[in-house]
Amino acid sequence: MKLRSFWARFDSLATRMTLFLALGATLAAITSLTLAERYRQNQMRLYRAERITQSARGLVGLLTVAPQRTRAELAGNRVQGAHLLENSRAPVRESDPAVSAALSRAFAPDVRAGAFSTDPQVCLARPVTTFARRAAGYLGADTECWIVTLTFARPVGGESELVLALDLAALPRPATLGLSPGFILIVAAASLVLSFLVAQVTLGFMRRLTKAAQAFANDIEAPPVAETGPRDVRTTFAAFNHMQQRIRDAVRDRTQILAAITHDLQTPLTRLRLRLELVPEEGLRNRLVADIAAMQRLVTEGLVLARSGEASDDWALVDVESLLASVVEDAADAGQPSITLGRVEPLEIRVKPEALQRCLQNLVDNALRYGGSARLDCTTTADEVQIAVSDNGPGIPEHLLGDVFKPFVRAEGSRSRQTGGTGIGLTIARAQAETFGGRVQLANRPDGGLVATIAVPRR
Amino acid sequence: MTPPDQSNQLVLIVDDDDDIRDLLSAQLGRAGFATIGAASLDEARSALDCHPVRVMLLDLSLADGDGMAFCRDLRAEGYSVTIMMLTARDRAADRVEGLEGGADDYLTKPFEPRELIARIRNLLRRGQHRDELTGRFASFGPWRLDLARRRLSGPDERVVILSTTEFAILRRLLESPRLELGREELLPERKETVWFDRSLDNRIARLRAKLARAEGGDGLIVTVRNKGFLLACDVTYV
Repeated sequence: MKLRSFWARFDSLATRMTLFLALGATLAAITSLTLAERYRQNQMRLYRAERITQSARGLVGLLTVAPQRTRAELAGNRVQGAHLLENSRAPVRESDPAVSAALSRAFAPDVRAGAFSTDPQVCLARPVTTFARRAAGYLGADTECWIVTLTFARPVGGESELVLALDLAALPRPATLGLSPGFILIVAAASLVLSFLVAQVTLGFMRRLTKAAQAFANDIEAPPVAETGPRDVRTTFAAFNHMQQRIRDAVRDRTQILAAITHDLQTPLTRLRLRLELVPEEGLRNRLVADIAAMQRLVTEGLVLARSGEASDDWALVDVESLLASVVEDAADAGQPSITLGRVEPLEIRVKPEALQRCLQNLVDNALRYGGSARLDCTTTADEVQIAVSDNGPGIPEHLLGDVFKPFVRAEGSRSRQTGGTGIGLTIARAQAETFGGRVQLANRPDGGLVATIAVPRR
Repeated sequence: MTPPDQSNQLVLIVDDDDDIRDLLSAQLGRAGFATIGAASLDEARSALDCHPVRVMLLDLSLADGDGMAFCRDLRAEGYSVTIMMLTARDRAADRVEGLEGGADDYLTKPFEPRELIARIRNLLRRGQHRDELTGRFASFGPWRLDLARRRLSGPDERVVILSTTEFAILRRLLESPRLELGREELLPERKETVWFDRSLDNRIARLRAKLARAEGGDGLIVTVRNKGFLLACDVTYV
C-alpha cells in the first residue's frame, strides 16, 4: 500500500524531474569536489618533492664547497630542518614517486638518489631540533621526516654515500569534505530546491498546454493559448493553436454545408406544406402533413447535431423544478397523459439552459416513444445533480446501451421509422449535455423499463 | 376576440420564391386578409410607401439584401409597420437578432399555416400600440421575459423555464398591463380546442408560483372575481 502510494507520487513528471535533477546535481557536485581535492593533493606532493630536492641539493652544494664546515654544522644540528643520519635505523613509512622523480631530475646522471619518509621521531629526537623549530614557528604543525639517500659516482667531501634526514611540515591530510554526510546533505538540499524550481518552470508551460487542450475539448470555440514564453515553448503553443484552428475550420465547414442543405430544403418543404392545404381529402392531407413533419424533423435535428459544438446560449442558473414541470406540461398539452413529475429537489444548476432543455426533451421524447411513459425525477449526490427520465418500456439489451448513442443506431434493431424517431435523438442529447459539462447515461431499471440520466456536476 | 376590422387588413409578403408568395397569398386570402407581394427589398420598400400595409411577412434571405438589416433600417427610419420574420433560419441566435432588430414576431419555415394566421391575428390585435411593445425582453417586477428564448430571467442570471402555455398566458398579460383580461382572452389561439376553466386556473397558479421565486415576484397576477386576471405592474421593453 505504502509502495503504491510512493509510486503514485513518483508518477508525475515534476517529481521525476526534481528527483533526477537533484540526484544528478548532488553526484556531480561530489565528484567534482573529489577531483579538485585530488588535484590539490597532487600539487602539494609536487611541492613537497620540490622542497626535499632543493634541501638536498643545497646541502650537496655546501658539502661540495666546504665539506668540513658543513659536516660539522650538520653534526652540531646547526642546520635548520636537516641533519645527517648516521648509524641509526629508520623504518620506511611511505615512498613517493614524485620525490624520487624530482631528485633524479636534480642530480642525474652523477648521483643516484632514493627517498622515503620515516617516523617523525627520527628527526625530532635531536636535542636542538625542538628549540630550533619553535624559533621558526613550526611547532604546532605535524612534521614529516624524509630520509634521502644519495649515492655519488665521484665522492663528494670524501663520502661516496650521504644519508640525510630532512624534516618538513606535513602535507595536510587528504580532506574528506566531499563525502561528509553533512556536506552531502547541504548539496542535496540545494540541488533539490533548484531542481524543484526548474521542474516548476518547465511544467508551467505544460500545464498551460494541458489547460488549453482541456478547454478545447469542452468547447470548440475555446480561445487560443497565449503564445508567450521561450522560443521553443512558443513554437509548441503556436502548433497547438494551428491545430485548434484547423479542427475548428473543418467542423465549421461541415456545419455550413449542413446548414446550406437544410436551408435549401426548407423552401421546397414550405411550398409543399402550403400546397397541402389545397388537398381536399382530409385523411390524405393529414398523412402527407405527417410525412413532411418527419422530413422536417430529420433535417432540423441533423442541423442541431452539427451545431451542438457551437456555444450559442449563455450560462445561467436554471431552476430545475421549473424546467421539469414545463417539459411535463408541454408533453401533457400535446396529448401525452402518461408523463408524470416525480420527486424533484428544489435547486438551481449552472448550465446552458437551451442545451439542457433540448437534451431533456429528447430523452422524454424517447421515453414516450419507446417506453410508452415517462417519469421525471431530480436527485442530488455529493458532486452531481441527476435528472432522471424513467419509462416502463422493454428497456435496451445491455450490450447495446453504449451503442445507441451513435447516430442512427436503434435499439429496436430496425431502421424503420414506424416509431417516428429520427435515430439521432440520443446523439443530440449527449452532444447537448456536453456543451455544459453534463453526461447522459442509460441503464435498465431493475423493476423493468429504462432510465436515462443527465448528470450535471455541482459547482 | 377578433376585432371586427381585422379582415381586409393589408399584409405584405416579402419572399423571393414566387410559389411561396402565391401560396401564402391564397392562404391569407381565405383567412380574410388582403395581400400584396414583393420579391425583393426594393419592391418591399415601395409597397410600404404606396400602400397602407399593416403587417409585413419578411423573408430574410433575399436577392438584393439581408432582411435583418432591412428591418433594422426601417425601424431606424421610423417605420412602425408590424413585422413578422418568416425564415428558414432556425437558430435561437437568429431569433434573438430578429427581435432585437425590431421584428415583432419570428416564425421558422416550414410552418403550420394555421399557426401563421393565429400569429398575424395576434399581432394585429396588439398592433395599436406596437411602439411600446417591441424588444427582446419584456421587463416587469423583478423579472424579464425573454421573448426570443421564451423563458424568464430573474436577478443574478437566474433562469426559470416556462411551458409553452405559460409563456403564451404571460405574454398576453404583459401586452395589457393593469387591464382586466377575460379567461377566453388569455389563450385566443386555443379557443377552438378543448379548454377547461380549471385548467387555466391551474396554469395561472403554477405561473404565480414560478413568479414568486424572485423577491417581489408574488402578487403580480391578480384574480378579478368573475372576470379573469390582471397584471398588477408596469411593463417596459428593452
